[in-house]
Amino acid sequence: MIPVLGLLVGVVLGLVVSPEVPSWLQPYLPIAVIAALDAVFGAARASLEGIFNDRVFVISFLSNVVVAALIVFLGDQLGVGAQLSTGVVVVLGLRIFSNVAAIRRHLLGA
Amino acid sequence: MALLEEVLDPPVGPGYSSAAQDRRAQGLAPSSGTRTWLMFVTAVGLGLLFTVTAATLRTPDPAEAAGREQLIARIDAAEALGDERSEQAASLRAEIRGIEQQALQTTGSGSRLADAELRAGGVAVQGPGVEVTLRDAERATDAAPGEDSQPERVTSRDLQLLVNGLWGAGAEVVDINGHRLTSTSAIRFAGQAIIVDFRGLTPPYVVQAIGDPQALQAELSTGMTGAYLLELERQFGLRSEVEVRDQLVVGPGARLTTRVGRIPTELAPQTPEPADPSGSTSTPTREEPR
Repeated sequence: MIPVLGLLVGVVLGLVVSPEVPSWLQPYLPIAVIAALDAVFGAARASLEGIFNDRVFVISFLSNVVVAALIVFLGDQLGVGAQLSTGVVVVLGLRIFSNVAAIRRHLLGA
Repeated sequence: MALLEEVLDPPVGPGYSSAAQDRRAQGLAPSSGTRTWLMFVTAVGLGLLFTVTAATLRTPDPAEAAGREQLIARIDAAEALGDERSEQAASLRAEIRGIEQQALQTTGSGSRLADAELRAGGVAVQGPGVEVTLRDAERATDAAPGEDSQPERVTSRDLQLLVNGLWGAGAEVVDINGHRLTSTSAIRFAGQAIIVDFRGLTPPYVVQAIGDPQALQAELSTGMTGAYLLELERQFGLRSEVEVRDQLVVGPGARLTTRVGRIPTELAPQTPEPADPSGSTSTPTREEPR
């Protein structure tokens, strides 16, 4: 209940405040969202398996976002930003898919 | 194989397993539960991240949009000015015509002038002919999923071929979207837009041609132009409609002046001799074949 409440508060806050994102930060937003989604699905799976831990979740969320942004930043500096972004999306996408598959097995038994 | 297994059925993140083991060792429940302040704060952060990302990336760049609007406003203003000027030019031309007619009434060469104007595209012309409507394709022909492919569009080359086919089939007057084509008209391509006589056109492109309706229609159905139009429709989905009209009215050309060419000075006092003096009619209904 509390995470959902927090999510709602965050969404409303984002809509009300609608902060201006500086343009140098904008390329990292999609990557940050994918990384956050990966952390969320990992957490959902862990909580279904009864081993959820809030500290692990927060750390994985933050480190996912930071590492993904770092990889993209490094790629931008080296001139292969687009390729590395694709790589990050592919890796995180694979993880999201496998986590969703595990969640599906838990919920639907198939 | 390890990679494949990792991909197909990975264990839950090792962080969660080891944290659960630690908690078990301390005699606590393996899961910390989701009802903690840390979770609340993180969830707020997540919601904020998603919302801000959606809001930021969904709206187009505001600076770019403002620039585009400014450009559109400037184009509109310039076009309005151009329309005003061409209206002015048309009214002045009508005035000149009136004065010319008056002056020529006495000399008797008024019909020759009317004839020359008819040939040059200086007056409105009416008569039977065909109307061809060319439209851009509605859907992209082979859109791969996720690929941003635009529907095919009519190009200047298509219009050029169509107009040349009509001229070739004996059209006497041709007009595209209300722009009368004269001997100095150009159909060109600038970026994505078709430009006729320096004015951008928007689809659908309506080409009106005055001439022998049977010959024009034959060219558009069984001739080269007809085959080309059919191929355009089959390959790119560019739809075209051909209609025979008993009465078409085409306005005068907007720009009749020559920029470089001049009448030779030794001939200047004389009026240029029309090619066919016998074909001069006082009421212009049909232009002479080219």
